[in-house]
Amino acid sequence: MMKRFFDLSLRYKIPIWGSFLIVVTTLLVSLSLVYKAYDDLRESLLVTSASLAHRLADDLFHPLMEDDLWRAFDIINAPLVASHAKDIQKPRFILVLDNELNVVTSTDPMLIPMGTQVSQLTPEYSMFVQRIAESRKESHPTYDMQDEKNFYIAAPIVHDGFTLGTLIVVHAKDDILWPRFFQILIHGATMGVIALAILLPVNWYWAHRTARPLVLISQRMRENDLEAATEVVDQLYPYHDELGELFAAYKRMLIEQKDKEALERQVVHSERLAAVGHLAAGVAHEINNPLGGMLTAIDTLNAYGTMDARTAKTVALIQRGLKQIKETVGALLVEARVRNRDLEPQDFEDVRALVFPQVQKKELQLQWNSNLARAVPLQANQVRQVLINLLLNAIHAANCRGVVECRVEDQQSHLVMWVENDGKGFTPEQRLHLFEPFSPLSKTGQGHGLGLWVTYQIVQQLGGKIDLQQNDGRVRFSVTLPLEENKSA
Amino acid sequence: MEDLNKNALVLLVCKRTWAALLLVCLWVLPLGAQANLHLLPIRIGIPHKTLALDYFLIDDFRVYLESRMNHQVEAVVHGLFNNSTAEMVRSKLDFAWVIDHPDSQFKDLVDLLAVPLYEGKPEASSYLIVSKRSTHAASLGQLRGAVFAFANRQPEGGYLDVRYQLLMAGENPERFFKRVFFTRSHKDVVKAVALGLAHGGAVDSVIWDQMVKTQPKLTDQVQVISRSATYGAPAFIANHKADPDDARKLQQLLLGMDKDPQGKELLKRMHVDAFVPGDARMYERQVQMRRALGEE
Repeated sequence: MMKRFFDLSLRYKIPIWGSFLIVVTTLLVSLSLVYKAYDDLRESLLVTSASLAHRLADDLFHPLMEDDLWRAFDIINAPLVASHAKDIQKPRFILVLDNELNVVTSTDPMLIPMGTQVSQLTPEYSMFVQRIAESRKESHPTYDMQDEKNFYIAAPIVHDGFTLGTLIVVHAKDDILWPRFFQILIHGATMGVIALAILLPVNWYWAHRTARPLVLISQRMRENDLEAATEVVDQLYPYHDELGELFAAYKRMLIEQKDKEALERQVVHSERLAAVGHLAAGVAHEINNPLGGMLTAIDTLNAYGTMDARTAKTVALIQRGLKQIKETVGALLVEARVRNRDLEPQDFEDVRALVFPQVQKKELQLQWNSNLARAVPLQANQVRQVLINLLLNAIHAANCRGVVECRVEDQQSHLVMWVENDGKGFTPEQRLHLFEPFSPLSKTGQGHGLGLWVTYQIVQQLGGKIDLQQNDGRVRFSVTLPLEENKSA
Repeated sequence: MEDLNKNALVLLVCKRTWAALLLVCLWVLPLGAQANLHLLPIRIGIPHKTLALDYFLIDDFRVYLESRMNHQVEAVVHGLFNNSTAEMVRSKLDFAWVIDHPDSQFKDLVDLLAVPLYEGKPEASSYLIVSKRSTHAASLGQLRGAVFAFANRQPEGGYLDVRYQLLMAGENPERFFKRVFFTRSHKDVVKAVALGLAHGGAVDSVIWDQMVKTQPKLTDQVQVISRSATYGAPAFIANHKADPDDARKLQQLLLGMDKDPQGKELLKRMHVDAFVPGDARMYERQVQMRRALGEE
């Protein structure tokens, strides 16, 4: 049973624990207050009753001395008359004993008539009287005693040391103490309920706030949705206590894992691209050699052979086909060409001029920024090809009357270029096969689907890096090319 | 007073002008005192028995007398005036409504002014009451050894009657009861018997009849077992030292109260039909009873 409780979700366990503690605390505090109030009440009853007894005893001396029974009765009866009925200190009854312990008068003469011996009353009185007699030497002003039903308070009726008798005031606990005690109890209970009414919702809210991130994170973890789990940490618990640090650590761990996975994916991707490239190059070489022979043969036939019209037509067809194959294969086979010249700022102006007709056709806004002011040691034709490919893709992808931005930055050791458009982004599926030859994303468009493949191969050859970033509805290809390394190469 | 003035004279004798002034004062003072005699209030003793300690009624009666007599009236009530002729004479009251008339000792010092009529008769009686719960006594003889309550120790009414009856029955009136106590008020006699403080008591019939109507809860707990013989109602008497004019005026006023609407209203509250001149013979029985008890 206990184990089952501890297995409960924090969502329930924290509020239940909190509520349990609050209820127990409230109960303890209320009970101790009630107990204190009860004790005070009892104490004040004894004190006021003693003072009443003392006062009555003082007043009784002369009437008793003068044998004025009615006056004596009037005096003891006064605290019991109906007008004081609401007084909590109202005694149950009062009786006056003479020195021989006979009742002189009582507030209920029917019950305790004049002349009754104390020994004829309930045993408590005899006990009380005996106790008074024992302690009389100490000359207390009043004496008190209690049994389960009553309080007994006595005062000697004495004047100038001459004692006429004893006054006994009897308070019923049922009449005074218990109703007041229940009143106090109800009061205490009300206060307790109010405290609970305030504390329990606060506890519930606090428990909810504490448990919710934990619960959500564990839920996301179960669902293996790490992205969502990170969001939960950021939004739900922005504090820096231990829990906050724990969440932060967890978030760091998630990010690291995500980075690691991305890196692994990239490595796999690069390896695959390299393998594809290798395969393509091999196939291309194998095709290129016989292709060259076939084209030479056809050239020779065209130059020296005599063919009828039909044959000539067929040969021309074959030649065109072979040329297409050559082009395709040539495109696949991105060879490191001989370095012709360094890249100059003018090259970018040329590229801009080259793509401008396309830009105009789609009524695009072309933003062009270049801070390159020197010749850099990069192969101009390759860089130009990369930029043209990216720009044409961007123009193609951009919305009508959209924006295409090209930026070239000379960062001393690197040349950074990026091309951005506001067109539709790539799906994760598409991104997975982004730089592969004949990739599916090019199938709908024009071209042979080799643009990005060629671009990738060139960038690889130049020892650089090409990345895709997508955010704010913008698609950006950025190319970073090292300058120093190339120089040394 | 004169001593005081002489002392003052000694103090001031050095200043002649003051001395002259003082002489004038000394000459004027007795004159002032004489003149003040008429300005002094008429003092009337009112027993709490007759008006049952109804302080509103007592004050209304005082105000009524004051306005009709055109003279300041001071009502002397319970605590200061003990309802007796002797008390009136000693306290130098002008008039009193007493319950022990005629007192042989002061018979010649007072005049009977008026007597109230209770239910048409100038007489009253007392009831012997017992508690319904604590005793089953049906006659005075069965109350031997009981605790007995009287309103007061006056030689009249219940106190006189009960003791006279005991004497006639051959008992010692002072030893018959185990204990006797006095409540000062007839209402409290009923209360004491109802509460069981006393087994029996003697209460004035007029006051009992009122209480049956006004406090039935109290009177229900009490049983009347006998009624005394009648005796003369409390008398309104005048001190010989009182101004004869005032005495005449008061007598006329009292006797005419039942013809005056305001007076009639007051009489109704006093449960008195009217005041009549009264007759000394009405009180003969009381005198005999007192004599028998050796109190005259």
